Amino acid sequence: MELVKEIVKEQSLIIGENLARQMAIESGVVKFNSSKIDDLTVTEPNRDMAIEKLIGSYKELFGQASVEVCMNVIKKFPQKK
Amino acid sequence: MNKRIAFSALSIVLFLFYFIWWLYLKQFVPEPYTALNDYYADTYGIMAGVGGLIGLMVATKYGFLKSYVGKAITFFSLGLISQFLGQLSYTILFYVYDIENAYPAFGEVFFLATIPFYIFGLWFIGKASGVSVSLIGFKNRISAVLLPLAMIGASYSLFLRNYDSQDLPFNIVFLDYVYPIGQAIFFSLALLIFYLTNNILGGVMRSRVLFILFSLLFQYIADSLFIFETRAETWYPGGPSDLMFVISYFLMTMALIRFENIEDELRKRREANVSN
Repeated sequence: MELVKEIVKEQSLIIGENLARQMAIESGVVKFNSSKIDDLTVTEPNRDMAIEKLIGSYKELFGQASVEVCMNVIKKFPQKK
Repeated sequence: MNKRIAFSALSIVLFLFYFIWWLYLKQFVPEPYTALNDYYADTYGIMAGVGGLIGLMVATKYGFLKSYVGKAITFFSLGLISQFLGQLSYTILFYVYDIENAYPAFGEVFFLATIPFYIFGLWFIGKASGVSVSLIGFKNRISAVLLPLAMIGASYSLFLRNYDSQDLPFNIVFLDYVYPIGQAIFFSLALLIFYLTNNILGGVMRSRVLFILFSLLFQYIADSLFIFETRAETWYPGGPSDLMFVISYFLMTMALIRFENIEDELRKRREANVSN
């Protein structure tokens, strides 16, 4: 689930690694394997559900502004891949 | 005691101390040039210094300079620290070197530095709050150009239209132009961020960002009042503009402290959502 990693990394640029990690954990869809922000495992098997929950968690911080950041990552993602 | 409560308690105690001191001067000291007035004007910058240090500690929660929010908090904190150092420089000149009314002196470097620090702070808080998303629209792009220009025009009209620079040294003329225009730039940026993010900024950060913008309004009022008083030659130590600076430092400090603990509010919101 590279997209989930990209969303978490992008959010860490806005709110810092600690908070980005904490919000990702609270979404209940990821587990971090080390102190690195992109060393994570997605525990939710349904991809769309995982992304929706993750975005919902970040939305608690900056509202729609956080959602737009995530949407920009999603839009860019297929090209990156 | 958690950090937020400790920081808030320290800031409130300092604010009350200077607020009560100011009221005392107003009520019981009719002569504006007493030692008590001088001590007031020479020390209230401590509030900005303490606020700036608190802000730097808060910034570490957001990775310091590794995130937009961390950078914003750091630059606002450096702005506060600059205010403190500016005042400290003049205080040292006055008490150590016995130089009175040394304007413009080295301390102006620090006061001037506040302007770019606040502009950088606003830039990054704007980025975190979704300004770049809002700037996609044509109307918003036009506003992003027109609003700062309008504010600079208004400041020019208020402070510089009838300004007579004849016989004044270059450094004074330079500062007399740079302060009102620089302050207009950071205040217009604050207004612009409010306007551009009003429909997009939400969550627990909304009130925090708005609090920062609100505190900058007070900083702008304090700066403008100070310029008015000095131009009209009505400024005196411990006067109205000094109180406005005390209020603006206090508000900025409290705004930065609000970033320290967002977990409680997140928890409350989640509990409220569950119970609904």
